[in-house]
Formats: sequence, structure tokens, C-alpha cells
Amino acid sequence: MAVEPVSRRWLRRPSSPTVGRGSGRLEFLLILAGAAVVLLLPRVFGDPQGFDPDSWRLTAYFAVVTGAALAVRSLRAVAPLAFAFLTLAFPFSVWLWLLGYVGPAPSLIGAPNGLARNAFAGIVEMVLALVMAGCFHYLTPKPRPNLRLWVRPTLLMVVVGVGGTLLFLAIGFALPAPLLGREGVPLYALGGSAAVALGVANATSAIAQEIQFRGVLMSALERQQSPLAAVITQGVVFGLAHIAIQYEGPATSFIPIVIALGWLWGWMTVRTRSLLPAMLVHIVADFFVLAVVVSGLYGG
Amino acid sequence: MVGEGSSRRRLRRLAPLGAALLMWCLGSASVNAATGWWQSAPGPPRILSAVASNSTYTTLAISGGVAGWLDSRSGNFALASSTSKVAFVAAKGDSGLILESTGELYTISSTGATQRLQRLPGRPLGLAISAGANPVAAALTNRGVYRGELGSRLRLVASAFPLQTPLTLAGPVTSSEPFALATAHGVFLLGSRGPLRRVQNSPRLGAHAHIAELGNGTILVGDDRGLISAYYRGRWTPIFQLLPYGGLGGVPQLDGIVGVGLDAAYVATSGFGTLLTPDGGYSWYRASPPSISGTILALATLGPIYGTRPVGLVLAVSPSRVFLHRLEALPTPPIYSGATETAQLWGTALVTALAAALVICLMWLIRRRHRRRLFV
Repeated sequence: MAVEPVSRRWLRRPSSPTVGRGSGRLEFLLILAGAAVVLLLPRVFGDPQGFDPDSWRLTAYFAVVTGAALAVRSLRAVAPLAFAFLTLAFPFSVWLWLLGYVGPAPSLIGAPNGLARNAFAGIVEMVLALVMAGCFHYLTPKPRPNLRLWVRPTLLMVVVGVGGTLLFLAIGFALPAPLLGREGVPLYALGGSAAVALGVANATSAIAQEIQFRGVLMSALERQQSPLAAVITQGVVFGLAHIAIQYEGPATSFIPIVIALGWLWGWMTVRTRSLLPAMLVHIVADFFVLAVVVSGLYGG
Repeated sequence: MVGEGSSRRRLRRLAPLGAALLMWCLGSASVNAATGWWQSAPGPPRILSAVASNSTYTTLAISGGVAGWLDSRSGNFALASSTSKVAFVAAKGDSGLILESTGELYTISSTGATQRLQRLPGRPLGLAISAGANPVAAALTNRGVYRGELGSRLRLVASAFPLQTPLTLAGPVTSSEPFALATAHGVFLLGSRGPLRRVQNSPRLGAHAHIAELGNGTILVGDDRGLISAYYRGRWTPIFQLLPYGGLGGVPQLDGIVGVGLDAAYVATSGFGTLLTPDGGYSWYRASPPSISGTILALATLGPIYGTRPVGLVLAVSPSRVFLHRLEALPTPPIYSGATETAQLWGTALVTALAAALVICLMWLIRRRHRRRLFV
């Protein structure tokens, strides 16, 4: 039996009889455009962040769309995609909401007091993402999402992982600092709550994002598109989500890097059929990005 | 079927437009958030090398080695008479001091007329005038620190010996000790009377040291290593480290620190423009004027800036022009209450509900037309 070339497999749309032939791009763009309206339109008239700092409106929007997709038979086909977006929004809103209890550090005078809560918020976000991914895994029809966590490490993986991280750091340090926002390190903040944030909260956040984007969203997209298109699309959404989250002017300069990283981690997930390598690389990358490259000057 | 196909094709044509619109919305909203922070100073582009902070909107500045009064509202620069190779200027209301690189010290009036006071021995390193009703002036050279009432001769307070290597002098600060000195052996405070006092456990500073005091008494110091430390309630804490520029570039040079209000401060650098901390050094943000090189040579504050709600200007000097940031124009988050808050809340909920309803309807229409099922 002839083996199909990788390039052809990458470009092939799902051909399982259980999967329809529609591309679903319109539905995808509609859902995304609706999210943009919900997030941005209220800003024209006021400051929705004032009473909705955790972007609950985005969660509500995706919940309504998911509910409608599940309730209306002709829309049921869109339910996995809508649920995937809900899996992105809900854990994030809960995470922000829990962080809100910590409150912004008042000043240098006030000691940072968010150690336990920061870590707790990250763990809750990760668990929620995992639970929702589980729901997605068991409630949606075949083909089931690729959420295998374990993969046997190979020499190539280690070489690519270590070499890629070093290459990433070298490129990061070679580029002009203002381009990446690594003008400085807020030492006092790092000595307080951010130290834990870099440890526990950062790792849990990276794991949650891999489950959300490379796990659930990419799985939902793979039902409609070729693996290549799914990787590209989830990478773009990954980048856009970072704009929506940060919403700081300078943050836009590193969005292309985020999109590229989304593509890289998506490719790793598809190739290894596991989320674990992407999770590990994401944790390492986040640590260095937050500690050295983007040190908080974006307002984050 | 033909009609369905063409409709779908039309929608497909619109999809890139929608995506472009979305990107534009996100991009423009981001850009809008960053604009309007700094404005070019009125008048022709002026190249300054130093500018003094002052409690009014007119201050002393140095342009081409010559001192003069700079009016921040009109952009006028009135040259002082008979001065050259000016190294430092300090202003207090309508009067000020000029220290030439030769050590010659002058007083200057609001008309620009100068009067020679004395010649200070050594290489000039700093000049400052205290705040308050009875202003006191202080000057720093590599031979020592000098102090005296504004308009009169300055007397030697301390020789270079206790200071070891004096670096810079800052003022005015609001405490009873209005002058702060950065030296290679730590930070010293100097009152209107009495001797110098070394601040315990203060960091040893390198070249290009800068020092400033915030309204709440926090002292910020930094030097060419790019490390900024803060002193508050008897404790020194390293709070911020500038990182290398990238590639083969080293750490950008620290060009100045000014305190604004109770616990905010601007830091000027050669490479990263200006950075802002709004909370005494805990968090840091980019707050740069649109300088191409990212170089800000000097910072100063004009007007009343030490109140709980500061009003005044921050003035940033780039190699090609001067920028102003009006503190009263700082964007403040709106406070919603009562009916306004309710309207905002319901409006946002309505937008959410309508957007969801519209998306659901459109998807239903698409599905109904095509009867295609993506998933089973």
C-alpha cells in the first residue's frame, strides 16, 4: 500500500463520512466577528472594562451561541466550534475574576499580597479548561479531538525543544528591545507575587492555553478544515486573543510572534499527536518571555 | 442551486472584508490608546541640552551652551545675557541660577539679566534650588557641596572627602531635607541647615547617576548600570533593571528621573525613551514621546506637580525637539454611578445579546440554505 505524502495529508480536508463537506469558514468568521463586536463596540460608548473587567460579556456571548447551536437542530453542526470558543473565554474570565480579588498592588509601600491567590487562579483556570476539554471530548461526535497527553520522548524532540528554545532566546536578545518590549525587569514585582506567577500561575496558564487552543479549538477546526488550515487558523485566533486580553497599544507589535508561536505549537501537536510537547515548550517560552523579553512594560 | 452558490460566493467575498474590518478595529483601538500622551512644545523645534524643573510654566534651559528662559506655553526662548558654556541651571519662580562649566555662578532675573555671584572651585556637577517660601540653593562640584540662600553667595558645606566621588545633586524635594546627592559611596541628604547626612544602606552609584524624590518621600536612584533603587521608610529596594538594547548594544544610558505627584515618576533613557512608574516603582510602562532614536536627554516638571491630583507639565528633551505632557490631560477611568452605570451595563448586555442573536440568525440562514452538515 502506497504511503500518502505528508504534504498531501496536510492539505487534505477530513473525508470521513461522519464529517460534512462544508468548509465552515463563514460560521467561524461570523462567530469571531460577533465576539469582536461584543468586545469592542461598547468601548465606543463608554468603558465596559469599568464594570466588566473580566470580559464576562464574551463568555456570555459564546454561551448563548453554544446554547443556540445545541438547541437548534440545523445549527448543531456549529456546536463544537462555539463550544471551543466558550472553552477559551470562560476559564479566562474566571481567572481574571479570581485575580481581581487580589487587586492591583497599591504601590511600593504596600507589599504584594497575591501570592496564593495568583497561583490559585491559575490552577482554577487550568482545571476549568481541562474539564471543558473533557466535556468536548466526550460530548462531541467522532472524530474525537486529539488530546493525548503523553508522548514518548525522542532524541529529535529533545534536540528540537532545547535547540528551539535557545534559538528563540538568541533571536529575542538580538532584536532591538523596544520591538519586543523588554526594556526592563520590574525587580520588585518579580520579587513578590510575580515570582509565583512565573512559577505556578505561568505554568498553569500555559497548560490551559494549550488545552484551549491546540486541544479544543484546533480539534473543532480539524473537523472542517485540513490540518494545515486548522493549525494556521488557531494560530491567528491565538494571536488575536492576546490583543483582546492585553488590549495595550504596544502589545500589537508582538502579536505576529504570538501567531507564529501558535503555528509552531499547533504543528508540534499535529505531528506528535500529543499536547505534551507544546505544553512543555510553551511553559519554558512563557517563563523566558515574561521574565526577560516582555517584562511587564505592556501593562500586563 | 445556482442562487445558493452565488450567495455563498458573495458571502465568501465579504469574508476578507470582515476580517480586514476586524483587524482595523483592533489596530485602531490599540493605536488610539497610545496617542495624545505627548505633544510637541509650541514654537519652532528647539534643541536643548538641559532644562530645569520649576513651579511655574516658565523655566531655565540650556540651548547651545547658552542659558535662557523657556516659556512652555508660547515656546519663546529668551537668552540670558553674558553667559557661555553653561553647565547647569536651576529655577525658582521668576528667578534662577546659572552655573558655567568654569565654575562661575550667576543669578538670573525674569528679564534675563544676570549677576555674577562667585566662582566655585572644581568641576560643576549639579545645581538645585529648594522649594518653599525661603528658597535655598545648593551646588555640587567635584570639590564639594555648597549651600546658601538664593541670590547670595554659597558656602562650602562639605568637601569632596565625605562624598568620595560626588555624582549628581537633585532638588527640589518636599521633605525637610530638600537636596539629595548621589555619590559613589551612597546617597546623602542635605537640609536647609546643618550638615550632610548619609542615608543608611544606600546603594553605591556609578557614572551617570540620577536621583529624584517623589511626593510621598520615596527616593529613586539609578546609574549607568541601569539599576533603579527606591528608598522608602528606611529601606532600600532594587525596583527596576534596564535591560540591554539588543544585539551588541549595552544597557541604555539613564538620562534623568523626575517625580510627578505622590508616587509617580518618569525615567529618561538613551534608547528606550521615557518609562513611567505610576506606583512608586512597582509597575513600569512605556511612556515615550515619538522620538525616532528613542533618546530623551533630559526631563523636567513645570507647574504644581506635587499635589494628590497633580497639575502641570512634564517636559522631555529629545535630540531634535521638546515634548510636553500635560498632567491634567492624563486619561482617568470614568466613574459611573446611578443611571449612567445602569445604562452602560444594560447597553453592553444589549450589544452582547444582539450580536449573539444576529450571529445565530445568520448561521441559521446559511445552514438552512445549504442544508449541509459539518458534523453529525
